[in-house]
Amino acid sequence: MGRDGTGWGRNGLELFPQGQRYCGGGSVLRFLRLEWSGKVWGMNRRIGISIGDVTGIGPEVTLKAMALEGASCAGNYLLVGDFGHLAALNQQLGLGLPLEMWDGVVEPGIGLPVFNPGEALPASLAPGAAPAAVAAHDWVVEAARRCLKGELAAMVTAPVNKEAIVRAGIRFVGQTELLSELAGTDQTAMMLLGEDDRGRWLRVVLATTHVSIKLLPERLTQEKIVLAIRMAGLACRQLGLARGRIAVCGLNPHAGEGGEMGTEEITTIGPAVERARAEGCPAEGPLSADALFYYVLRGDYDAVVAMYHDQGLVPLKMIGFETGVNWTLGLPFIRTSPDHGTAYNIAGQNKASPSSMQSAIRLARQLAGNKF
Amino acid sequence: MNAKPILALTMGDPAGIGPEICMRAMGDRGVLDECVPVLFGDAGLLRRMVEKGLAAKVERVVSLAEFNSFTTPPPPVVVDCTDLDVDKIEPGKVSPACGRAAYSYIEHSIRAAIARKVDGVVTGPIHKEALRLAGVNFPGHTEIFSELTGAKRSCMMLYSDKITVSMVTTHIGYHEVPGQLSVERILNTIELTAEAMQSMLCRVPRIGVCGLNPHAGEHGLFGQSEEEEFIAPAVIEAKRRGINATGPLVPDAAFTTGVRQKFDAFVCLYHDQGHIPFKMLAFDTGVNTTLGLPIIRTSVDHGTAFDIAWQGKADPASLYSAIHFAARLAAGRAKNATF
Repeated sequence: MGRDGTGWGRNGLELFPQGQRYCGGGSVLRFLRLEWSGKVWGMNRRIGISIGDVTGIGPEVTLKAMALEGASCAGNYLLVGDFGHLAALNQQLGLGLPLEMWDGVVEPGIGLPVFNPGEALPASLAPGAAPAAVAAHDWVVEAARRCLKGELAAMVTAPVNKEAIVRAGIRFVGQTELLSELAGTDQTAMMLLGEDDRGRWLRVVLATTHVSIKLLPERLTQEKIVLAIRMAGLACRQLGLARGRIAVCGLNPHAGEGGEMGTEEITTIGPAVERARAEGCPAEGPLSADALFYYVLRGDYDAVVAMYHDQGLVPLKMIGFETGVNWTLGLPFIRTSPDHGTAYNIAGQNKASPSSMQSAIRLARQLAGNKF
Repeated sequence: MNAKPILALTMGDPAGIGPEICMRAMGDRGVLDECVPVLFGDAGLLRRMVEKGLAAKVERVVSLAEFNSFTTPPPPVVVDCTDLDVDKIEPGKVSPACGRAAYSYIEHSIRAAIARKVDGVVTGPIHKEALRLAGVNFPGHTEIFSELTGAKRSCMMLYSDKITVSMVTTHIGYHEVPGQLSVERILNTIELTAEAMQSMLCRVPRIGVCGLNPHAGEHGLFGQSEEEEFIAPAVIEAKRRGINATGPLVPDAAFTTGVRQKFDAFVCLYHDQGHIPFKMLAFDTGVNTTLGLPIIRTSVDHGTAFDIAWQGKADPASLYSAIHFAARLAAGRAKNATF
């Protein structure tokens, strides 16, 4: 077990650039450790999944995704969440998963371990109930801590409900912000990935997220754009996209057309692209956003940096509504999540599709180098 | 009105792909079945097109004065509007002469439409830089047509068989968008879109109206909500006027396959909100049209493609769609006029 806190992700050294906290030490030591302690290695190649708000669809999509993994799921994952709720759901959905309560310390048995660092939750809870919201929050923290200690190879987070968590009295902006804080960094960005039915990928990093149009121009800074470009470059490297060509969108129609329709391309976006290029990042832009996504799908670029939420989300949801994945870049560990929310309205009805969760797990696995 | 509408085609920038695709259209059976095309262009240039094997011989060329003196509906003709020094024109080159010529075709076609000599105008691609060099300062066709016809309300619509979008605002900076919105302006766009789609589909169209902000504002969670102030009231008023309108829709969910099937057209608040989904689904094959003008106007949805100009490689599909769309709008307008 990695409880000594010094385990290694299998491909950690390759995945993360120098200077990040995820890995350290020489390859000899790493080799010795793997040889010496098979048990340590056995746990830290698992992917942790925080099951999210139990009154939402998080547990359902998690278990369904596990069931689709087949028998191999038991040894490869750790579910962080409430055992009772998962066991009941397992029964209700007829999945027959070998769930096993884990104490967080000793070697897990042959079943799929479920770990709850807190109290067991009551069986019946109203949508968005405070105990469910608080527990969902704590499970994210637990999975992140184990990732930071190197006890998990990656984490996947099922949806929590922001409003419910805030209502329960916890200061909370979002899972990404929480994880950034736990990891002690503010240099993070989200990459959203989607695949269309012809297997063509769209990978988008947003320079800004939930900002109204009115406030956006003042919130869009060179720093945010440079960070997004840098993160897009990092993501391409981690995904093994050697060419790593990054398209940076303009903000205005036709990318402002030389300042005739807005000047942010000249004052902010252009200089940000230049800065990123000076760092060696193969970024191009600002490009007119309207035709760009057609070229991206054609394969001209590997990733896109979008200036605002809908600029990136509209194309993504058009091509991969069911299979979208979010990936947090800049953390010292791997974290992915499905791109949907708690969907209280369909929770507990066996209606939720696990495809986005499956994609999130698949990506986490790919990034962790766990090709099991 | 005639059985077939008379449609003016403008040749666009002479150095682009406009001339060759227009000439293809003049000889296309489908086009001739649907309308009587009248090409506003340059006789010398078209001769050169024929010499280069980019066009078949044109039946008839008339001068502008001759065209204006027609008292009966014309046959398919080319109207010689300019006196280009055709040997000096290089394909793929921006020049003030070409900019001036392109503008002149537009100007004359608009006059013909206002004088009811033609039932609509279908425009070929122009080059903004060339127009500027020629001293014509408009950001695009939409603005030229609005100005020259004195339209009180107009909007840009992009039409294709996969997706149709109308824009409440077009060629303005992103930061100016919220300040330009009003219930009236959004309602105008909804009405114009519904009217055009009614002509196209011959039934009551279903119009989806997008929100402005991420997640359609989520009830003001991200700040001042234009959704509640302008968009929702415009949708309510549109419904009161008998339009099947729905909104404000969450923009990132509005264009997914499932939702797209529920609407015949979308009203979008700003340029890229409509252009991004449209170009993903109908790249270079759509029709661009200006609604709300006293005349019918449609256009190709691509540029001058200088890189392949005069090589016989240009695809006239978008022009054919634009002609088809103009013909349908003209038929719709004629039908409404008789009521």
